[in-house]
Amino acid sequence: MAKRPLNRYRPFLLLGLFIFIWKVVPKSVQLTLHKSFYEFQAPLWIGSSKIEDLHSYWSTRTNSENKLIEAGIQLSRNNHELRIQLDQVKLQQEELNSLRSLHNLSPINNYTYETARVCKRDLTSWWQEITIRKGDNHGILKNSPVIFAGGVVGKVKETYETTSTVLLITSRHFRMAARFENDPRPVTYIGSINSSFGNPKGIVRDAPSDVIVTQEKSQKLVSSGLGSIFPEGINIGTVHYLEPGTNGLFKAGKVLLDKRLLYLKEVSVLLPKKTK
Amino acid sequence: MTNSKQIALLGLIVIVLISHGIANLFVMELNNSLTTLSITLFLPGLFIAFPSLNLQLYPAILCNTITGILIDATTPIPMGTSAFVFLIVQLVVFQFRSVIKKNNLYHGWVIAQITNFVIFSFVTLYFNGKYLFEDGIFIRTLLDFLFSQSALAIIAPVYFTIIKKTIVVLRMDLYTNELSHK
Repeated sequence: MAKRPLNRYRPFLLLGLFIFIWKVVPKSVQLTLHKSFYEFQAPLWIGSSKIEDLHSYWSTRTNSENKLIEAGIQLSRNNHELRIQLDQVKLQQEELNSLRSLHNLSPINNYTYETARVCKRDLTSWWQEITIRKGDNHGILKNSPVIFAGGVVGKVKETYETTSTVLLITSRHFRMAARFENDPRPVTYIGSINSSFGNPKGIVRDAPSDVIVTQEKSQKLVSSGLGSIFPEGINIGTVHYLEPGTNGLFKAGKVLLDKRLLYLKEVSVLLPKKTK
Repeated sequence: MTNSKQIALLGLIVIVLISHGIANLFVMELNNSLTTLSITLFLPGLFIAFPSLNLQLYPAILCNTITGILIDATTPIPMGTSAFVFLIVQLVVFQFRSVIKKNNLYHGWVIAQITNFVIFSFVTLYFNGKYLFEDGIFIRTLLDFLFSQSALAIIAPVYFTIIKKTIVVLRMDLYTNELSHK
């Protein structure tokens, strides 16, 4: 009978002990625990993602031969067009590099592209992140810019052995320097949580007051190259209206982002070219 | 406690943790598909209810702490926060579980719903407390909450039954260890 009151409070004593231990344990131990628990789960996500790839492979195999031949023809046409464009780009690149070397400027294209599959999408109202199937083992670096066919995806937040987490452009904690396509003056882009059943969106701030954007005359927002993470000119989204900000000096508005951000399957991480 | 009982208890913990891992993967896959609609299911109540209601104090604490740390490791929640919240919720449930079990036929379902509501509210206040009424965040959070609770209402009974059946199939006895701490 004498033990009963102690038994009653035993769970809360344990809770107190947990808090005490957690406070006393050094940050390095917590970080190691975090990494180990993460790495322990990562193969499950990768496996699940690979099963999905296998599923799409087998569903593609069920297509009729005629359909595959048609797709092959279309693909070869696209390849032909892209090859011509690539030759033009190479010529322009060479010309640009020679002009830049004449003026003693460093070459623009200092990046290599590391393509990675997306294995986990965490697009909650609290945080917006994706996990990709490449990490430290593939040379992915923290804070590297991540892009896709539609433009900016985000930046690498954390790297692990075989995976990395990417902070999405729609995250409220994401900020970057941007500019309007035909205006060199910098503005600020901030992520914004997308509403249910809605398109991804962001916010543009600090736009000069003489910039006019209306529904009829929308403007594209691109990266400005400032901030040293994203190279210049990568598409962010489209701005359909701007209104005077709280201080009256600058304008602010919503940025409509590419809808494909919601179901990304493959992204490219930009990594600095290694100099010999 | 004899060796065989300890092994049986360890077996129970392993079964519960493996079930949690599979359920977590299932929820992740669901969320991966629901991103196109910008809806997220958040179901921590699913993981707390079963150990809190059916296991002894120490095994339940172990299960919930490990589950909490596993969730912390994969989310931007500061390390240990989920484990801490899980423990608080579990200890509260643990105090009243004999009363709850006596009075409610659907106790597991009810506890899962309540714990999910508590943890959802905690995470919302932690991350979006300042911005809750800005730019449609409230509506998004509310819809996420409603979808999560509805999904939990469907998944929880099935999930609890699967764990119980697995325990039976593996010839382990859940109820010899149960409610020893009243």
